[in-house]
Amino acid sequence: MKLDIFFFSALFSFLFLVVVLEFVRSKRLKEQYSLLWIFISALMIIFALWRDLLERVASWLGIVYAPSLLFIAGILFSFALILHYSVIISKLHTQNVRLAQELGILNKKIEDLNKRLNGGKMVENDTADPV
Amino acid sequence: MKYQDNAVTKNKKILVIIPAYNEERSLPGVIAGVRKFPGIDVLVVNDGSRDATSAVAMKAGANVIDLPFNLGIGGAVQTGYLYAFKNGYAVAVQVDADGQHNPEELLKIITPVLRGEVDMVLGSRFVETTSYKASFARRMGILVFSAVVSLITGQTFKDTTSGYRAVNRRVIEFFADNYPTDYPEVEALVLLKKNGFTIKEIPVTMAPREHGESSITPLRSIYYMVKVLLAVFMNLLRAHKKEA
Repeated sequence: MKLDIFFFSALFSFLFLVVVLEFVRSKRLKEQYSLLWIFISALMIIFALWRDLLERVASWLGIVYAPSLLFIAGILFSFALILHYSVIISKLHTQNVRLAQELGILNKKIEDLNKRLNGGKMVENDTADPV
Repeated sequence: MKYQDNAVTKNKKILVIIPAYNEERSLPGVIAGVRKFPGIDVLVVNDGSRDATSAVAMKAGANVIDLPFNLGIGGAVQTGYLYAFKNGYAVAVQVDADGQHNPEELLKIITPVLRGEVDMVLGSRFVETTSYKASFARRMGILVFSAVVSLITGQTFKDTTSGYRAVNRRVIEFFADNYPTDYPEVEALVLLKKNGFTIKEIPVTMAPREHGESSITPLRSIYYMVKVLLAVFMNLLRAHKKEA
């Protein structure tokens, strides 16, 4: 095996896959979000090992300069991924707001109960305590 | 129960919701104004203020909910509706903390809702001529919103951005689950109309704000316009989800 760009691409892709799997193993990346990355690593490895695959796909699509296929695929993938993250952020935002609201209401309830039970003395639930 | 005999507010739990962000100076006056009416509870939703808003509100005799961080006006107001829903209030009234809304007109706003005539009463600056003077840009924005909302809902609204509004139990329940996050006033109207609620606009007088700064700056007002219009049109594209 020659130490050319294909070799290094394959090596890089493989390391990438290992890193993704390690993240999942150590629970820094959730399984559902890792599937996409595993799929992408596999695709990168295939393209690196199967040398004329890129050329073939490019000529099928009528692309003269094969590497530009890589660029367009990369950019489209990035856009899709960023959009996906925006959707996730929006969902988290909604949940975050609801949590803050419920927390505020619960704290008020605890204070009211405390007042009723202890004649206004706050016991144990110091909500003014900065986190 | 502390309710005194009162022709209008008798036997109904009424909550005034005051969303407040750094409003320690104007809040006491507003709360005192509302507390003149017996049988009306006051809830201040402190939206992560950095000043003494919470302490000042408590001292003035209001119920206070402290949000752990700033949610923006929509999130704060919805906290009030959620509280009203959980605590069985029949009517909820939104009042701004900056002193723009005259508490003397509370009954005027509440009465049609209490009588069951409409689901929401909107206190408007423009139904009749009042002393309120808005800046040119603000007036233009209000005109555009008014035109768009009137066109979409088929009902004429003059002052869609007014935050002085009273709603009944059905709307409280609806708002507890569906309320826009930022710049919610206009969108909330469209949401309600689209879900078959009735709204009545009645004239109120509004004072210029006493203290502090309005949250609307020129740059923000552009974002405000675009965001609200987008949200309104998106609401049109959505399926009805009243039961949601």
